[in-house]
Amino acid sequence: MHPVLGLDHLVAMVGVGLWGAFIGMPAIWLLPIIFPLVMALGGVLGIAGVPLPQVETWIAASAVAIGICVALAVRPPIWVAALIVGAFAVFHGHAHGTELPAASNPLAYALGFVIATGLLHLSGIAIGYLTRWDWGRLLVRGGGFAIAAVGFAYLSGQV
Amino acid sequence: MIGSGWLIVPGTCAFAVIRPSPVAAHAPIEGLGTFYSYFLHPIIVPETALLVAGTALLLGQQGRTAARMGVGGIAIGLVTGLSVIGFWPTLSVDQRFVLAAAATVGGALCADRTLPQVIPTLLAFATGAVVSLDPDLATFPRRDAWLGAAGLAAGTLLFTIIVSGLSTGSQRPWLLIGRRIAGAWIVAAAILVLALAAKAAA
Repeated sequence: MHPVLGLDHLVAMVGVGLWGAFIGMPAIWLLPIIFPLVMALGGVLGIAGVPLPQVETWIAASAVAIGICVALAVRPPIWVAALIVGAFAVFHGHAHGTELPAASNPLAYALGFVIATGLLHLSGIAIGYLTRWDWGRLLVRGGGFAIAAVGFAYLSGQV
Repeated sequence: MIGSGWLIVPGTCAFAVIRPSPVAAHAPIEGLGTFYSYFLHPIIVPETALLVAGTALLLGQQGRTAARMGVGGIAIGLVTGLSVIGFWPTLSVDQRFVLAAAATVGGALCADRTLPQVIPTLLAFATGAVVSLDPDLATFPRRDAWLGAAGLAAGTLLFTIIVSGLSTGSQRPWLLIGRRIAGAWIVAAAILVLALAAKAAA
């Protein structure tokens, strides 16, 4: 439940799905594949005790950056989008990986957070399909602003 | 992804069969009986579920012929594994190996490439063999051991047939995407637990 209950994680994950849907093919499936794979590498760093600077700050920053990309309907080349999402995924994975050793059933924990993360992506993609309609595009871009606002609130220490 | 090598498959099979390791007990479910406890084994043991689900999805991804051959492969693997455990009851498969195999299968799912037909069949064989190398079976009385073996084989086969059948039956875009995403989830979960196991061993 951690990715769902942590608001900063939640909005960033939904944002990845939204952005993928906004960019269209192949980002719609590529981003939700890249994210868990790179997140796992970040998780390995966390498990190994390799320190990363300001992990929580970068997680909040991911919500700001991805939210702004959605809000401004940014459509970069796919490799740029993959790079951005992958870079943030390292920090999300590191945060989860650091907590993993304390879990009573590591595989259940790992499966749980990977699947929860993936389902949040899929939620974002589902919402992102609203972009087929003009009103839907406005709604999704508004969602991007909301995601960025949540991320900013975490960054500024308001949450 | 595994283009270089179908050698991985027989190699991992041999590793799984030969390598003795401490017994990893899977407690039967209270009140369910030996047959149904082992029938559910491939679903309720997370490591096994990852491997069987990944293999079944991969078989479906490779098309109907591969799925049919794969189901045959998994059946032969189950019989082989159960026979081996009958003769060498102390043999078991290290769960790290199961996770590594699951990660390999998940990677192949992500890559979504058409593989030579022999590879999915051998992977299915390896999956059947790995799943059935359960040393607990050898500790049961003869009748329960047979019931458990039958349940394990039936459950694994049924799970594989259902998942690969659902995966093969439709070429809808969301299904094609969903299979690849499931592959990424399997790889990510397996890598994390393998890393944790490596840290614990260090």
